[in-house]
Amino acid sequence: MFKVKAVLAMTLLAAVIVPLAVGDSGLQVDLLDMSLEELTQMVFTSSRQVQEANETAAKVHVITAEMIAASGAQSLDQVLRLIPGFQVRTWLWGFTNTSIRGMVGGSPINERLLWMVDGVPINDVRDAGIWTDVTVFPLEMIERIEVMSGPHSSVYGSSAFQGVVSIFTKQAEDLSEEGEFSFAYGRNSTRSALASIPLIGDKSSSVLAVQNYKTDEHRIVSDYSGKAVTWVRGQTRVGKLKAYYGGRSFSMKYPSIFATPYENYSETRSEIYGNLQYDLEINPNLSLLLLPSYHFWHDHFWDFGDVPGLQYHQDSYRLSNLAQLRAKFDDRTNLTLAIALHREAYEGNDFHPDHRDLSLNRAEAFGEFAIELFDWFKVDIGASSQFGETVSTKKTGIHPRIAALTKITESLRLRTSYSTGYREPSWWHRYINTVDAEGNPDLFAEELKAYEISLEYDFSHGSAYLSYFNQKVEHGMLEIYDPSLADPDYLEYGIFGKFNPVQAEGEFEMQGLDFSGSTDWFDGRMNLKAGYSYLDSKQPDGRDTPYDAKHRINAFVQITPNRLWSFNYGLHVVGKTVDAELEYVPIDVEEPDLGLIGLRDVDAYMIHQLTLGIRPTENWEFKLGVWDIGNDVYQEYLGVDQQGGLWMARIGYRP
Amino acid sequence: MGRAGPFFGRAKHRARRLFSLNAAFAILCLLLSSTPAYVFASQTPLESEIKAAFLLNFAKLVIWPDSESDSMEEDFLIGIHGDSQLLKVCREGLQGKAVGALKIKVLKVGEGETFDLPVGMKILFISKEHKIDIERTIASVTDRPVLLVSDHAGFAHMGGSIELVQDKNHMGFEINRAQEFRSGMKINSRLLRIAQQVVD
Repeated sequence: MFKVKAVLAMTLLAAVIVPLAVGDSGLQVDLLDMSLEELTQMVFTSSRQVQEANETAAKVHVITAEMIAASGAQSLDQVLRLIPGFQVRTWLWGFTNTSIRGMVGGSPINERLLWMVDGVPINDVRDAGIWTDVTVFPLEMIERIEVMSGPHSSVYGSSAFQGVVSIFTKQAEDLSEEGEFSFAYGRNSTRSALASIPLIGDKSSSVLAVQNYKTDEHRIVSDYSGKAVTWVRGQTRVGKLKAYYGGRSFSMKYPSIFATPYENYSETRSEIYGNLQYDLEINPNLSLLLLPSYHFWHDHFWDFGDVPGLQYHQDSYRLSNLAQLRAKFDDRTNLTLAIALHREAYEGNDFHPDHRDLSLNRAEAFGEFAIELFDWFKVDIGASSQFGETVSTKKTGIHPRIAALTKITESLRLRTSYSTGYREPSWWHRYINTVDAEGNPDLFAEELKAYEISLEYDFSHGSAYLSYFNQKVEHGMLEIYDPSLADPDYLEYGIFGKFNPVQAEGEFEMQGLDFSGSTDWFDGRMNLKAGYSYLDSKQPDGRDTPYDAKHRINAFVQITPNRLWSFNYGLHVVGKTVDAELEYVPIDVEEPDLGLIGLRDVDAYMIHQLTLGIRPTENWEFKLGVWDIGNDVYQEYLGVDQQGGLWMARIGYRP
Repeated sequence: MGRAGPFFGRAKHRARRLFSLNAAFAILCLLLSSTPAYVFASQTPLESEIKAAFLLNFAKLVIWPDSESDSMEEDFLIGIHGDSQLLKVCREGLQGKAVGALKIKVLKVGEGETFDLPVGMKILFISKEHKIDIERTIASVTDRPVLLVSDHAGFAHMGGSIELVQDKNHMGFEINRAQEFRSGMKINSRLLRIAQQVVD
């Protein structure tokens, strides 16, 4: 109760500060009423609350819509490879796992990154991750993507563990007045259709976007999966009030990870979500962001494991209220304080013969103080903590963060940081391997400590970035498939084993280098972006961490000789790594053999990507992409030697 | 619904208390929402806010030639190319403001679109970050009544209409009248008087 009172007190404190600050707002000058003569006398600053990405103490990697178009990418995972240190791998049936600087053992649901769309977290309640494939997010709807590496809990709260991926979608004014349409078709009968319609009124504007994506098998991995996604998204802006809302239905057939494909095992998922954003500028030095949001998920697993009639379902939702106060004391000093109140609920019978009906209320407080001590030096100091109920039974404390930017010259910047973060285990982690209602009572939040030093240099036709980092993860969660945890209720159906989340004793340690550079030639008609990442990733027992390849290379070249044609070439190289081997053999339930799970070497592989773009008129655009996935590429995932190439053709129309 | 172990009982008990906390928070948010907001009310404005204010003045101090489509128009179209911050500021501050009988509508102009601007676009701002587009746009739009504005150094001498010039923390502008003469636009003498340089 004391903590609840503390949260309430902080909220009320904010409420007291607000009217005081309004009353002390001083001279109010309206620039729009100024004459030209007055405007030429005005002193302005290049940064206030909104700063250029180059001016922040924390490095923000920005991918714009123009960069996405120039990359030749046709799915989000390909775009994200533009970020140094970003790792993408497709898991099992086509879930795309993404991570930054190490997967900590890996899982297919991306739970160590905070994913946001238009400022709203989309990590789900049950798993804390992005369970369904992020790659189907329509690229045409993206205005820009911002990615931050390392823990950023002092700005975004607990989920910002290894990094933040923030996607901003296009507003109505970004689109052609009559709407924009695209259709794509490719190998495996993959087809995607997208219609985006803007509705612009005098005082409001809205976007309605509908996407349908379907594939008869996942485009790269399996012969047996099919997937369909229908997505309706909308956003409406009335003055400073913004609303984002939408829904998604998702269905897929599961292949088998073993030798025999499933015939009937499938999943359907429905989501609805909505939020309101109100950015209240109280006075020039004080603003308040209010962001209530709601997100609901429903999942249903049909004929689980091809057992007729065996069904799982789960319903979950998150109701969040975020209030973020941003204060500016002078041109050099800013303070951000936030309180987030979350109610999360989950009900379901997945991997459990009875329903679990769970809910909790938790609160987070986080903030950051930024000060520019000199023209060439600024520092951010922040911290975060959580209150109320948690999934873990071992509480975490306060997690600090400090980052500094030193401008050595106008073109050369040095960044150093020490950051800490925490991530609650998900309900899935707590309950997946136990049949009782208590779940695993001995879980800790994962805790991350990260040091980083980076150099960034701008030159006349590009930039270069080099970073050294060291990260240590305590209580890292390993998701191991354990045949000894067979549920008696399911043994009669022939289902053996479960995933068994285990928190390792000791620390995972990841250190390495990220390098990226970009340049252009011929007045911008030829562009090159290239990156190299070195990652030394160790488990607490000193062995290499599975899935973390030591070497990765990404390179993209774009040539635009004229308005009509464009060519893109992309190269993606992943060095040798190791994989947790999962081999199916009949299991003796009385004496299960745990030696089935082990590590094996996975060869290096590379993917070539070539895209041809044709723009015969301003209204029409054609893209043809081909990928050579080489030999042995997906041994990393399934032990399946899948060779050959992929292709995808896309038509875009703007009336 | 399901079994209620110790964890759930505790959670539900606290849920009632925190529900009231959520309600209090929501009411607080509503109260705060009634606080008046001041747009463009800044003692030390952003560079992009100054630029937006300049664009509004240009809109009021330039006369565009009549066209057949004028009687059909309701919007005064301003296009922004390559400057997302300026686009945001213009949308929030200029959109809907009156210029004569027309209301300002702010459009984002994307890559490749600068050659086929919407009919009736009056002002096009091109960011200095898009050097390759500046040369192409000047060449393709120079005879049309579209006021070309940019913060690219040397823009006016390249043939653009108005170049925003930054001198430390102050902003001024230079004018090139070539496009004005060819396209039929008429630049007010006040603009010419305040301009740091006028290229005829």
